[in-house]
Amino acid sequence: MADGNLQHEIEQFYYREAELLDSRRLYEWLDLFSDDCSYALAGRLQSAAGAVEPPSEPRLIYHARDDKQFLTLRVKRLDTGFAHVEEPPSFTRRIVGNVQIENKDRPDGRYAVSANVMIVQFRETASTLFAGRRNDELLRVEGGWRIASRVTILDHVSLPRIISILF
Amino acid sequence: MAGINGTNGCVDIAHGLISRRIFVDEDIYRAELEKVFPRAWLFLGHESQLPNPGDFITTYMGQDPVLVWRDSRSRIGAFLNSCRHRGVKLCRTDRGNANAVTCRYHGWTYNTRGELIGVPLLREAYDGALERENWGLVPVPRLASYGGFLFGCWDAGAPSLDDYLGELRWYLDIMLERPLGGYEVALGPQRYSINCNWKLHADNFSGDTYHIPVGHGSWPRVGLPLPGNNPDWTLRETYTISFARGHSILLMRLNDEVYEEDMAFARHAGPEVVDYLKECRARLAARLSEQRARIFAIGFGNIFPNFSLFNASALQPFGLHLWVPRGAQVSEGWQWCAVDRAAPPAVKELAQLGFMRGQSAYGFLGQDDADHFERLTEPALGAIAKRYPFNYQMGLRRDEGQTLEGYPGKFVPYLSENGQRNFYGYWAELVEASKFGA
Repeated sequence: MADGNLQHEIEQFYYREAELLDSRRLYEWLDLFSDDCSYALAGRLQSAAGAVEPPSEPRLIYHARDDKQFLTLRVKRLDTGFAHVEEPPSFTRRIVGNVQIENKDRPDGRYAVSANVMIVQFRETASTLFAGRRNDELLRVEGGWRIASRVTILDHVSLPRIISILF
Repeated sequence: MAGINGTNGCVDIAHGLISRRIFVDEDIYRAELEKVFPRAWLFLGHESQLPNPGDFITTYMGQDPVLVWRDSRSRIGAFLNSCRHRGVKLCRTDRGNANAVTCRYHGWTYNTRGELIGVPLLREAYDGALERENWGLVPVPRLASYGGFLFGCWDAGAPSLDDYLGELRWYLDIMLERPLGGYEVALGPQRYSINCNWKLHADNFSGDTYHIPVGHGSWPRVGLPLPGNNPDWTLRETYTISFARGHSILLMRLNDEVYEEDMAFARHAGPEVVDYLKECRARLAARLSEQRARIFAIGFGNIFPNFSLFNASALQPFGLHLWVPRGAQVSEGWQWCAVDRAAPPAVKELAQLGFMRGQSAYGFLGQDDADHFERLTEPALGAIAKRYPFNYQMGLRRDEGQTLEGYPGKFVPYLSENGQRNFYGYWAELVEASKFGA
């Protein structure tokens, strides 16, 4: 398979995924994750001084380390009517870009893919921008893709608000 | 229509009425910055965050940026994180290690004891006339550690930290003596902004048990367990306990209930977890008393003004929460998860996951709380709304003068707003709330 087709396929997968989230089709979104998936969210700690941060020493603060079971609870919570922060639901618009496949030509169909994500969330009169880089392990399956693991590293040192959305 | 009697000012504890203004008005905010934070003992961090000489962390005391630094002789000092020349923030990282810090504006340099040791062009520009000994970093004059928890106070004449904490220490000691290996800060700081006054967080941790069934109603509805597995939430054998100087704790149970629930879970988790719990309880009984061992975890509470604690079980996180004021209507939550260094890996993992999933920025409980506080702030801005005080009347007459023999502090039933009245009563004294009118 030529590189260009794989790149296109994965990008299209990501755009469809973003649309599922932005349109709140959250159970369909959950189905994109493998049963043994891991889902993590981290922010940044303010590093020590230095002209260049050594790539081997990312300074992260974790906000989530979920298995599929807990990720499912995050979605189910929004269905209880008691996820007050999302009653009424906020609006989001995601842009997924700078998609890079780290390890092409995999016979086992398992790809390490990273992408930039920017999400704007709108609630009442306010908007909040979240931005970060997402590292996924994608698994090619019949009919498409599954997300086997996801780590989203937000670039925020201090979150602009609490997080009530999915990454 | 209930309104506040003007002579009682904006905080009327006797009638359980508190003006909305104290959560939004600029003049009251300036008063609390001037009169609350400069006089109180404020949480700085945990000693485990500064293990080596030269280690520093940055934080805030009120709205003042502070640098906490272990010097070359291993003594911890704290200073206003601001150059004495033109005020530039000196340390911009959350933590680090340095033997000196140099201001990036004009190059003034300070050592780990805050002394001004370097001034560029001292002879050429100042004719050698700058008295460096007068221009060191502004020190936090009072520093103390309670069981490894560092506190600072800007008021040189304040009572000791022990006196400030008072009878709360009897309960804090349970948390400090329970771990087999002492605490280390495993996760943190998480930081997040909320569009509300800092007091709303402290208020919540000071006494709001009432909000749990509805305010956190999504938690049991997705099958997550509640403390005591008590579906009706009255939790008759728990209490809200208040202390002098505005502190309070709640959700504490006194008769091995927490230990038994932890053991029930531990039997499924493995023998090392069972053994761990037994050792913790034995340690408490030996170092403190059987009475305090039966308590096992202090639930949640607030150390006045803005440092909250949360630990419902030995298998759950020990959450440390600092509510940093950023404006009359804005605050920032800083929080850490402390774990027992000697806990089995399974227990440490449970604690960290519990911390992220519950009382945190992406956790269910943290999301709920932030929403309630933000959604009460916006309506409070209106001119009409400000005429209608908030109701803090739960248990107002019922809970007067109660104690429980053998236990320090003022005891009231779990469902009460006495903890909040205790917090705001002390706050009102400090800011002289009667001057602000109704």
